[in-house]
Amino acid sequence: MTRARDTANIVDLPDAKGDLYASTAADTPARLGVGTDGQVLTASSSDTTGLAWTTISSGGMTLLSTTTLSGASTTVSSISQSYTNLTIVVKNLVQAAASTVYMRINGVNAPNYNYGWVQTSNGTTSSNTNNGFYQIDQIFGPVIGDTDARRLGATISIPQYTNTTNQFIYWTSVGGAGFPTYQTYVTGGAQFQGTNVTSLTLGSSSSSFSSGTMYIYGVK
Amino acid sequence: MTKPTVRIHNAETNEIIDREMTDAEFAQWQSAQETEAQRVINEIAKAAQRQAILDRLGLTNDEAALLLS
Repeated sequence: MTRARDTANIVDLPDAKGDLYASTAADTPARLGVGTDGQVLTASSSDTTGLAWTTISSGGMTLLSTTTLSGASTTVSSISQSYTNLTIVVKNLVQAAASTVYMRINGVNAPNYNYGWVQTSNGTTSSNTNNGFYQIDQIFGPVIGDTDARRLGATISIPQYTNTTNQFIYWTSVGGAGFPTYQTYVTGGAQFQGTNVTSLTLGSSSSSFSSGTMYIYGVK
Repeated sequence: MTKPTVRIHNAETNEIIDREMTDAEFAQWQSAQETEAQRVINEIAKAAQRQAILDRLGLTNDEAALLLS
């Protein structure tokens, strides 16, 4: 049986979109208005309802862009400078023909990149360092990625990307020779002698992208 | 020859521009194509040389990796 008071609470308490039912004490419902975009609900004993909408101060990831890879290179420009770190996720990258995939920062095509990588592929491990390069060439190692079965994926991190001096880039990737035959695994790090990161380019050195998506997250 | 395109996605406005490569970009891309073709040739040759050595020594890939580890 529904009591009149309950009905009144259910119907009358919410005033606006996003309002929640909370309580200030036993049997005492109260309205909790929605927070602002991006806030999360947290327990807060000092607030009357014991709850509060708060802005995440660290650890939260915000998706800044979702970009379908296309052409011989794809650039994401005007990257927000309001975060601490950047995390880039690349999924299902396929090229029209065999080619290495490179990354450039801020469109810089000059010998400002030092990088090293370790790769294991079908039981063989190899590594190399390249200094004074015009781009980071080995995000996926010297792999193929030219058919649907050879999809490539990677996670790339750029901590403190708004620093105006050197940037440090770390990545791990997988893909290459076809599933379930074997895959190529690459992990690497790079230093970019340049300013804060405002744009990122993924390029197919000598071919073009058939498919793939690049997601850029800002991390507080 | 039609030049390949490049994509530029503005993360702030979400505007996406697909345009042809500039002459400079195209020249670099063509040069990379030649480098890539040479790399593939070199890798194939290197793999063949490695296999020939292993065959001569009567070693498997795993045994060779163990020796070099």
